[in-house]
Amino acid sequence: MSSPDSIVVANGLTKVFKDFWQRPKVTAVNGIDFEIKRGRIFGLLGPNGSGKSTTIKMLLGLLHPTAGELTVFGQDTSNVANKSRVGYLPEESYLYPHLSAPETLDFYGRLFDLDRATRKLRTAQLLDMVGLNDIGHRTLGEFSKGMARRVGLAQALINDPELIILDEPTSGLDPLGTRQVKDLIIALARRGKTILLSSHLLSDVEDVCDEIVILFNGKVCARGLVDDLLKEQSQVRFTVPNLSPKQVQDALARLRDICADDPVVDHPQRNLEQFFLSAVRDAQQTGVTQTGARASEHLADFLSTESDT
Amino acid sequence: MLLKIRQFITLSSLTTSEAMRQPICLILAISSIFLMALIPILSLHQLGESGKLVRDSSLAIHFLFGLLISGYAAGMALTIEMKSGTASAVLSKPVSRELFFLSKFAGIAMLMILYSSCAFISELLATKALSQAYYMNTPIAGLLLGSPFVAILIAGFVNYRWKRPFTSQAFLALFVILGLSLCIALTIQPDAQADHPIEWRLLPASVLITMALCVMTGVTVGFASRLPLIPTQIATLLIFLFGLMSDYLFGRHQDTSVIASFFYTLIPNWQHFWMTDALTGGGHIPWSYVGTTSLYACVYLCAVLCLGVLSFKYSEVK
Repeated sequence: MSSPDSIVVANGLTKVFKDFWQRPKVTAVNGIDFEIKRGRIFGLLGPNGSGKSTTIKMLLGLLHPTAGELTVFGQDTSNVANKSRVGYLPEESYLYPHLSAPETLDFYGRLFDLDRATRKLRTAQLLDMVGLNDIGHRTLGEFSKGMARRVGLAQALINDPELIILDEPTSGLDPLGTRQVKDLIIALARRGKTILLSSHLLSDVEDVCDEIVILFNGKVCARGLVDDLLKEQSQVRFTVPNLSPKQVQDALARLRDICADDPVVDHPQRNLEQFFLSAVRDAQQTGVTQTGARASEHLADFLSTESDT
Repeated sequence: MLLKIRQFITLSSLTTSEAMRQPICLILAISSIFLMALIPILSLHQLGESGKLVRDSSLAIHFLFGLLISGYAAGMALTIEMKSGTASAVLSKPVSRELFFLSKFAGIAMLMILYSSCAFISELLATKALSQAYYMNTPIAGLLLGSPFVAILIAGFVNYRWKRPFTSQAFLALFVILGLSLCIALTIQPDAQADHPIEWRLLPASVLITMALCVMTGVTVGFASRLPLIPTQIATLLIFLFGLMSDYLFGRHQDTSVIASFFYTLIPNWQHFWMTDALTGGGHIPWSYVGTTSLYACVYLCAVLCLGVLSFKYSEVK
């Protein structure tokens, strides 16, 4: 199943949690297989308790698989040095509440043995990227959930990782922050990063993922490329500029000659996210001063492109 | 190897600073210094043995409050980090479990050394303040009593002016102020009537207590690698109580019973670290004894930490 381009390979991966007496309590992941290729945005979907976070924690070596094979960059997940190529945003923002945002990024930078100048540069660029460069020395304990999430995202990128694992990355973010994170994920993938995204927010996954696996009760119940899975093969849609009622009637008459079922005519609708974003952008252009996180449109410069890695 | 050393320093210094930022640790430290400052005043009219009372009481406060700080901070360092998820965030980086566990111990041990330094200076000042019955060295007593308040004021100012965390600044300020107080005490001319010099012979007693606190930290961190916070605290308390009674419960039966001998070896004997009786009547604790006890503490700590590392290495971080 694995190829030289495979970043993550799972074969028959199983995780059984045991009770105090070592008796099987729950099978969180039950013999799943999947493969993540370089440069892909891979979605791990499923309802609560389907085994998404357990799978991610096994990938990071935090939990030990009960059975099956799991490799990252061709190595066993217990390989500590391998983790220097991985960035991880946990489901909750697991950050030290007494540290400020720059102190947090500096701390994680030290764990990757980055020198002082690099840490300083990356901290500044990442805080700018997540819109927190004006936040000063407030400790993370004082941050809102969305702001802490942004710091969590910044710490996941401090080492310029090749594989980025994002567990519910848009949880706690406002629609504007959600859009920014989705744009960021797409931009990172364009730079050759491989991204594993776990979420139960289907619209997020649909917007960014190339390929998905849907888990239910610890087993894979669907998998494939997003476009292939979502394409309605039995129908065709035409989109044309606005027509007069007479032109519409003419077109319908012609279509009725071609197909047996009655064709449907309507006006395409923007979704609420697009409407909200345009309303906020209009408001921003009025020049109102903002507190908290700011919108940022660009990636941190240090995040390398595929050719660099 | 160099990377591991740097990671160890980063993680252990963060552990120290996080522990110093826990309000409970600061409250316990300030309370113990304040109590030590009160002992000379409360013992002023004690007939005879007032010097011994001050000495024994201040060392006992050092030991007791140190154990409380060590138990709380060591439990927090691992159990709460595992529960809150910060441990999993750190272990998702290129940090080995062994290094993470040992750095947690080292961080709390650093905190205990800092606290013990404060407590030792306070012991010196307290015994200097009341070295004889009915005679109080008021400037020294004032310096000791005022130190916690000055530290709090300085930390408050630093917090207001530079927005630095109050609790850790108060802890550091307490150490600095007590150090300055000791320097001032050394320069004050002795009163011809009844003043005694600084009792430096308290140093070995204090070093022994600090070693006991480090052993206790190792035991607590070891338990915390597998148990939740409350069971960790209960297990630590039991180890402390059995360790205090180790000679009575197991020591006297060790020649006749294998089980007693096993438990006598297994449980740390706190009596080895509590040598205040040796200071009675102007006596000294020989440094050779401190060396032997250090060896015992090191061997015990190594064993406890090895077990802790093994336990943490195969545990699952949820």
